[in-house]
Amino acid sequence: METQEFVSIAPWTMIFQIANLLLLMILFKKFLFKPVTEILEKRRMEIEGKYSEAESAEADAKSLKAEYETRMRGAREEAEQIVSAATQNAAQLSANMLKETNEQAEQIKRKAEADIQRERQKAFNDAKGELSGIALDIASQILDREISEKDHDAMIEDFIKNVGEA
Amino acid sequence: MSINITGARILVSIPQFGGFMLTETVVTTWIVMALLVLACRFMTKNLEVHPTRKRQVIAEWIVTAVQNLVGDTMGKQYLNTWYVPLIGAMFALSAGCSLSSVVGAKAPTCDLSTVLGWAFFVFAIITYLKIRTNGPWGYVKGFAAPVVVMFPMNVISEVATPVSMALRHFGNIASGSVITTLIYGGLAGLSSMVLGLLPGAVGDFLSRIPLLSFGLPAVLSLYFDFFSSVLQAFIFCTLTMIYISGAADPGE
Repeated sequence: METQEFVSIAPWTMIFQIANLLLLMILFKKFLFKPVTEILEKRRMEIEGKYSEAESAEADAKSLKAEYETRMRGAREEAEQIVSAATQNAAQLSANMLKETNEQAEQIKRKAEADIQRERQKAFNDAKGELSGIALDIASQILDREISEKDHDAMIEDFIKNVGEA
Repeated sequence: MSINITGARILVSIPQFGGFMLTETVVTTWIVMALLVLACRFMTKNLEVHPTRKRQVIAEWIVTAVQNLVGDTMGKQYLNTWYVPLIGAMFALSAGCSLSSVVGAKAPTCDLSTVLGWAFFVFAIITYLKIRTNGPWGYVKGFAAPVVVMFPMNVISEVATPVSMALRHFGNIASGSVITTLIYGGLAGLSSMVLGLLPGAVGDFLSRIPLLSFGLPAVLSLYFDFFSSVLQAFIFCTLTMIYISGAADPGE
């Protein structure tokens, strides 16, 4: 079979080889670079998606935690408020009760004192009435004479006054 | 015993169409291309977002490697252009054609026409980019820099670009092929001479077998076929990338 020279230039071979190179370039693009680039891009997108998902999940968790903490703080404050209100109420109540009791006691005491006073007055008055009779008797016996009613009364008054003062 | 060092065989020749020729070179290139495309098809079959197959990992590695090569050598702005598959195809075709000599084919890159064709293609891209970047007048004016006297020298240097690219590639592969052929021939001759010294029918029989051809050519083949093939493909691609990015750089 006919052969070329070892070092030779064949224009048709050159044209064929340029065409071959271009053809292989197109085929490589179609069958290797394009599909692989697409799959790499897809994977990149998926990873980015996962990352953003993770980030949003983290943000969610953080906001949940913040909300929870706020709620806890609120609850604690509320509890403190309730306790302090109850304490205040109790103190008020006991103070009121004490005051009331004191007042009652005072009232009872006053009433008792008034009763005593009244009893004493009554006793005194009774004594006074009785004493006037006795004094009259004694006086009539001593003086042995009738004393006019007017003088009589005045004398008794004097007497009682003296007795009262004594 | 004679050693013939010839070019590619001419399979079809039609002198009427401006000397149309279909040579062994082109047919071997087609076979290499078919194998490369089949390999691509195989590797990118059923691609998955979460790869489970080794072949997908290899495909992704190849694509990423070529992208990195183009991105590092030419610049990031070339990453999504046709230059990436071009460089990939250029490397694979050059290396594949050179490596076809391993299975006994005549390497297409051992034909000056092949690499000269590719080099002219690169030259066309460079010239187009230079004209696009600097304008036609700027392109012509560029040859007169720094002084007008330099014009012929600059034209020669410009033309020398594809020629040197082609000759570097061709020379390396062809010389490897020549050396391999010579060593095979030499060892066969030596073998037949040495074994022919044995007496009688044994020597006659053994001298027909080139026993000494075992061993040494395999070691040399490691360099001339594998290392040199890949290295020349890499050099050719690197030069292409440097010339193209240089031609598109308006600062020049």
